[in-house]
Amino acid sequence: MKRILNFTIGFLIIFGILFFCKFLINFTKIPFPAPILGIIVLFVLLSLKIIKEEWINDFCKFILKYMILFFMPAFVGVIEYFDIISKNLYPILATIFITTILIMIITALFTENVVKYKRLYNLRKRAQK
Amino acid sequence: MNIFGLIITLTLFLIFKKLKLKIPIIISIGILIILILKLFDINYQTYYQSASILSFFIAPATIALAYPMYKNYHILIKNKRALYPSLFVATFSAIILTYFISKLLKADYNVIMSLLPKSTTLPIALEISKSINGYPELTACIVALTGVIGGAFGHKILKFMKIKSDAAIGIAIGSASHVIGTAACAERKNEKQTAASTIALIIVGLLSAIFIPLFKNFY
Repeated sequence: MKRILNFTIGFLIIFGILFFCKFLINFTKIPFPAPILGIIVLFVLLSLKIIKEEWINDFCKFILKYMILFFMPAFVGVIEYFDIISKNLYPILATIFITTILIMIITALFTENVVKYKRLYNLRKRAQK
Repeated sequence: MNIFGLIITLTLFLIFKKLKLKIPIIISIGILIILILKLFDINYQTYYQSASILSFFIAPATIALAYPMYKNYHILIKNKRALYPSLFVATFSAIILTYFISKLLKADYNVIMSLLPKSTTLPIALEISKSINGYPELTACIVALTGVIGGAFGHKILKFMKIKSDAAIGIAIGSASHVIGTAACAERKNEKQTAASTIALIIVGLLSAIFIPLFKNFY
């Protein structure tokens, strides 16, 4: 019973935030996607403890678990673009392959070295004390 | 009202969710549905309309990403100075590399725009693609492929590069190959990697949503 109640509350909160963000973006005419603004709004409300975690966690877990399902209609839409894809097949595949690997390597090397540097810096600071 | 698309998609989804194949669900079901549509000569618009109620849930599912972000935020706070710069590096290297490499390979303008948000998670990628005149459907396909590559080769490549810290591995995989990469971290039962990857995929998504439209204005 409590789960159903929490689920409904979560549903109402998420849709409430969605409509609030849509309204805000229509009103201010800032070209920013409403659902993405919604992530920020919900995160801030959670961090400020205005919304309690237990109100939304059932609904969020549920909807995130089935997220892929919601994208199926959009994904299947690639059949409308077969001629564009076949014209650009080689650039698309090569870009995906090369950049994904490069981004991963760059980010990993950067993070690893910053983490290492931070650790050295902290050690040196401690030694000075 | 026609709901055959909804029924096909739901049934296939439930079956494949049980099967737990190595190929991500979105690709295996996607190909099956495309084959079904081709086989029975069904127009995409007809299918889309009959399954469009599913798309309605994309926006709330996007907002729900705030929950894992909230749950894993402690990782960022603990390593604030180290991880924030990495997330910026990830976002900018993704935008710049994708733009120039696809340009170099002479992809069409709209195809480049569809490629730009490719390292962000699907709901965010679709929104970005729409706002910069990409083809959202093509972006969906590209994002899924990106995830598969990152999920399949990510750990091997990073091991080859001798990256050891879990934070670095998680951030790199999450920011390059979003949810599918994160799932690969979760499969290895490495909680620290999974948490870092989760936070990276959401923050890189947010940063990309801000910077990709700005970047587009210059080119």
